Amino acid sequence: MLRRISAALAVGAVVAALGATPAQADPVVPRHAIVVCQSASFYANYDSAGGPTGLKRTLEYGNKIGHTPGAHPVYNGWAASFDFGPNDWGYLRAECIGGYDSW
Amino acid sequence: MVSTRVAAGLLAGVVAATLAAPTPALAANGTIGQRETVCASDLFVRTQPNGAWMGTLYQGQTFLVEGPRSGGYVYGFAYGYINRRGWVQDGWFC
Repeated sequence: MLRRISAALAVGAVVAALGATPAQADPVVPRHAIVVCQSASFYANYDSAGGPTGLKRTLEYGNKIGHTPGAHPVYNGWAASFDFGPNDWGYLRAECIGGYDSW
Repeated sequence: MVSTRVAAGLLAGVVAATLAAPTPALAANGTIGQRETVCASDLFVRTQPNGAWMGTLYQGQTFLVEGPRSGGYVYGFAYGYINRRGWVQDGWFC
């Protein structure tokens, strides 16, 4: 009986801990694509007042990325994209996205 | 007797752990018309409620809550590194 109570309390604690973190699971899964430029700068955000901001890394040809045309915005040629390496969002040049559904 | 004490101890531990964790209870829903500060470490800005990612607001950056609300999201103007309108999950403002 005591073991059951302990287990229930432990589960409750885990649920409470998970509930305390911001939910950032992405409801819109991007289409699979790859980088088709030899190198492409990947920025954290696109500032409508000043262009791309916060260079995160440089992607290379063949890197696996995601973008859904029509769903993810493209501002002035910069496309909201997902880097399947570190699994984070950012912006890179729209012309550097290709090979949709190739993997 | 022993099991009651142990259970009480476990319960106290759980309450303490819950209180010690960074709780969303400290954050609140936005007020329409207010420029709110983001309390979450990062908050995704989306094209529509539950929609596609378009930017990220970070803790301390601001969001002007314009409304409407829909499905737990609220519409407004994202400042920070974004400077355009979008939807954010409500409930993460200081």
